[in-house]
Amino acid sequence: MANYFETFPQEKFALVNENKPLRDKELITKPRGFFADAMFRFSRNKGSIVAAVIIGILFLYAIIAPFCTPYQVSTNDAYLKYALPKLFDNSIDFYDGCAKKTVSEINFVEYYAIGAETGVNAIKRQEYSTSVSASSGETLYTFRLDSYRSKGNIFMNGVTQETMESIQDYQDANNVQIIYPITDPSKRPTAKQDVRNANFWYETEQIDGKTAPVNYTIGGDGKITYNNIYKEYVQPSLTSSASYLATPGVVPNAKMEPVDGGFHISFRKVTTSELDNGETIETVSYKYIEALAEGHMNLLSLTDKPSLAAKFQYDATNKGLYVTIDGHDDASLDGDYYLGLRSDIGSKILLFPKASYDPDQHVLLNAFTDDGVTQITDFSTQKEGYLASVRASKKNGKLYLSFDALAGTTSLDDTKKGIFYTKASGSGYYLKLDNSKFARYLGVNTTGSVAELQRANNTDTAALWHVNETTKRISTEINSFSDTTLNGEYFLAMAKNGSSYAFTMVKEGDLANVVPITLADSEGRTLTDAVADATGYTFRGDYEETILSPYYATGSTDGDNYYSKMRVEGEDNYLYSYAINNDGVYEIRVNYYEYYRYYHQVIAKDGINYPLFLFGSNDAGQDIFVCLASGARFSFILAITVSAVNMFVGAIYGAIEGYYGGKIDLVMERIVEILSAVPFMIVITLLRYHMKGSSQVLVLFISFFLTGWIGESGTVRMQFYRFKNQEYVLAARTLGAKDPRIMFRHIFPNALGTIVTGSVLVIPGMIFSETSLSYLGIINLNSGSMTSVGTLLANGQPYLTTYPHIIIFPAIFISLLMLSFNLFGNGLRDAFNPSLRGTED
Amino acid sequence: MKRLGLLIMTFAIIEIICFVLIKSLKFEISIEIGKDADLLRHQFEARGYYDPIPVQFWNYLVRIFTKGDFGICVNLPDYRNQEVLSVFASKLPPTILINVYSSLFSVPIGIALGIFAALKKNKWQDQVVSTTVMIFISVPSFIYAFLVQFLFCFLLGWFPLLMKAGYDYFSWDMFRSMIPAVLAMSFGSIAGYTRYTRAELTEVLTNDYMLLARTKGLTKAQATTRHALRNAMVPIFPSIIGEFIGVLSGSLIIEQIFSIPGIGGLYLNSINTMDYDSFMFLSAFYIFVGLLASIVIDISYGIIDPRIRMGAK
Repeated sequence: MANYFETFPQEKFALVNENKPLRDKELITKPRGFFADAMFRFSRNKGSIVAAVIIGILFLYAIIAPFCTPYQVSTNDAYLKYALPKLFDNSIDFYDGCAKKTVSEINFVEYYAIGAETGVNAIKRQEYSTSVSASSGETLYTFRLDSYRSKGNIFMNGVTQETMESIQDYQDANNVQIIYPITDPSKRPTAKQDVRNANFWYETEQIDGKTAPVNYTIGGDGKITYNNIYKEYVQPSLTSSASYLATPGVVPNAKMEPVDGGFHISFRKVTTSELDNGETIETVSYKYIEALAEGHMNLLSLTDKPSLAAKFQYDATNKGLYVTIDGHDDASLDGDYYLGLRSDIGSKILLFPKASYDPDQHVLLNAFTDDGVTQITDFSTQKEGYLASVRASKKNGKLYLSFDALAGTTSLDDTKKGIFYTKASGSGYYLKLDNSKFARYLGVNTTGSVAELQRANNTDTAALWHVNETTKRISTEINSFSDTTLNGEYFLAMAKNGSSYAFTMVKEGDLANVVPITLADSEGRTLTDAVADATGYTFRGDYEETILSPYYATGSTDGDNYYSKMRVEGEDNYLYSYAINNDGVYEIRVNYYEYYRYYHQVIAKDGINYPLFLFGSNDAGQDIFVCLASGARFSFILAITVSAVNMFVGAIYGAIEGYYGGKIDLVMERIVEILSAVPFMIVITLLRYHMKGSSQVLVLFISFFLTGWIGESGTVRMQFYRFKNQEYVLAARTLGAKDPRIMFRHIFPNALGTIVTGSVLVIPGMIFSETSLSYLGIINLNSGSMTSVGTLLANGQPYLTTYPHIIIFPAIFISLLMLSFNLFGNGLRDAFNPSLRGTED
Repeated sequence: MKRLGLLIMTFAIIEIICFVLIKSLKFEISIEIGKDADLLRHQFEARGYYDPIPVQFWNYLVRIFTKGDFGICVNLPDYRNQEVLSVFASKLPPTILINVYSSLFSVPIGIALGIFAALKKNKWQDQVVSTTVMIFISVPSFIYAFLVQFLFCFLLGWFPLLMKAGYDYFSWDMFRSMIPAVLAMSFGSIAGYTRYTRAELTEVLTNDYMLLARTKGLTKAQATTRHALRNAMVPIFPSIIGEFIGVLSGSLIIEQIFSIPGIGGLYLNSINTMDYDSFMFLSAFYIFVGLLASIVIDISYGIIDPRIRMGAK
């Protein structure tokens, strides 16, 4: 051990740097500057980096969010309040704008009905599960309630003709249904709060002051059937005279038969029955009007027996039908009675004493001959005639045609169930196929060698139809064939095609092979006969003042304020009405979810599709996502501006205080003391009242400017006290530097780190103040186009227990922001001033 | 004594500024339905509300110092024609109670957590406590209020959503209904105390005399309680007193959320209805409490640690 080194031979040793002078090595790394050093330290603080990233994300959200969504702060929707946050639609049961709900059967049936009618499901996928309540033993239904679709249908008033058509065109183009059949006003719920609720399209009753659905069945497969639906007018049934005559809106097809000394008036009832082989047969029966002599209230009744029928006569003076009733108990009631309508009770047919006839109040029912135009004035001829109730109606120059169940042709197959109605245009009419879902015009294709019917999407390519007054057939003139012999008048007709009928166009000479579509005579008997063997399809025409059979009556009359009615294949008992005419504007019933899209795409044109609120909507129906971004933007702008201005003011103030010291410092310090002792709340309150005319945003900024710089000035003052007696300051002064130069070129850079840190650390406090003030309503930043986080929180607070999402997102935002700013500020401070690390305060 | 003088001077200056600013606003009275506006106007005239501001200020001071009269509520809907002082006195108990409960709750927990974190410094327990503290300090108190209200009051149903109405401040029901507000106010305070205690104690624990205490044979527990804690308490204690006085003014938002019939609500109402006298009085109250807190902190430093008072001379 002792001779350990001796074992190494001496020649193996060499002197290091034998010929070179020993010097300090030059630094390989470049020296880092103050800020680079701080940056380096900062980047090693993981928490602060994360915080900085979060601030960045929140900042980007505030800036970018308004451009990512078509919604604005000003976009609000009274029907979409409290919508839940939504990102996914049908596929996932998460973040889908739905909430799990467990309700009693009655409530469940109401929600189910929305989807059952429209297919816009309030209950997600119409799926539900049942359980039995432990306390009451009743069945409870659990399902996911879609907060966007659960509004269902609404009534809209004051819809103009143009809007109606625009909606129909939109429906047509997008293959959706917006307008649903209107519900009969007389059958709407009686409960006050539900009278205008458009979701009751089925029979309801008022139970304990609440509207409750009745008469429904829940099937074994879980489907609910609503047995008595009110959205349409039930076909008049003659079984009860009261219900028949009281049915508003439907004027019966009444026939007049001449009998000795007058007319019998009868109503036609068509009963459809199905045979074993699947064919259907219509049987026609008649009920006669009977004028009861007893009593004096219910003078009008119906009877099967012609012998009991009342004999009506025509009064040429007042152009009305009347009946003489004698033999009352009360002889004063004896006398002549008019058959007519009274304007105040709609189209109810009634008898009223001739003496009380008032042209303003009563519409007399008149008699017409079977040409539908000639009024019967010559009683002696005793022609067979018809009753037209719509003598006094306004027709708006429209031709109404009603078709049920068009047989399929290639060009018309998607319009199978529709009615025609046309708009007058110049000398003719457009025939519009309208089943409420698709509206198409009838056009004519002339490219081939024959005229073919084709569907036209607009009136430009639609054919202009005429009514041949002699034959009552519908025809159009085509004069554009290359083979000019084909030019001429073409008639619209039905051709038998296998077992069904299809529309076709023929010239007059070919009419023998087809069933021409005529304007039906009033009863429509010819057509009935013609198509009785054609799988039950019936076609009717309704021209001007002629009313057709009760099945297919369409058109608007004074007593019958309906825009259009429609019969849907397979639902033969109902006539659907799509609008109520109120003095030229319409009341319609729309599905709000679909209407929302229509409104925003067609009318507002603001790029909004179906409603989708990422963060839900608040109590004003505003999108919280964009409101929060707006509030956040304001918070950021306020924080950054105020903190920059305060840094500037505070730095100058503090620099002067610290640099000069002495009496200047004493006086300035007193001012600071006084200002800082005034609570911020008092500053802003007084300022708000003194600046009543100006915007609250300005008030907020100014009050922050007034006292915000105090903290900053204190920091700077301390820094200046520390540095002002350093040698380099003395050196600068010796070299002749002026005070401002020394202050801002020599001392100030040394204090910069602290100042920056300080101004970042005050930001969370400032945002907190702004949020608190707007929360308390001391400052109101809410205007049409902007809002603040505090206002959002205050708005959400009342709904904390019912719609927590309104408050959750602003709360998360403000918490994240405050936390991140604190972490970020602490990280900055540690980086600029490593000696303070860990003291945290 | 010098500080006390400065305090009074600052207070007086702020009061004068406030008085001038509020009185230079147009004096508006809201008249109750069925009341005679002229009658009110005469009443105010008699109280000198239409005099020049300096005269008004003089009268205001004279009334305060000779009769203890701080004015009457003019526009506050529920307290019209009542004395500001009595209205204030009726609103004070809930505010004070909530703050006392909150302090009683948060001071022990905060200090205990702070000690725990300091002793486990840089271990995982400390990390957990410090992170939680950071979160609780940053998140605004009204967010806790929402959370407490939603979780404890709504979901779990332990407490009523709002504070019980009435004046039986010491009944169990009333106490129970105050708990949510106390909790909401305490979270932030607990976090504050924890952070402060931890910071002070870790600094003390690194001192040389701690090493000495251990070397002379004291156990770690003995050394911590006898030496470290006592020294750490020197700055902690005044901060507790200061905070206690500071929170006397109450949290406006917490009072609003839990509908506590406290001073905060009264102040907001006096702002919104522009009720001069109650606004003046409450502003004075807030300013005074703020100033008092700062001076109490300064003075209590001296009482707790005589060295500091000696140093001041």
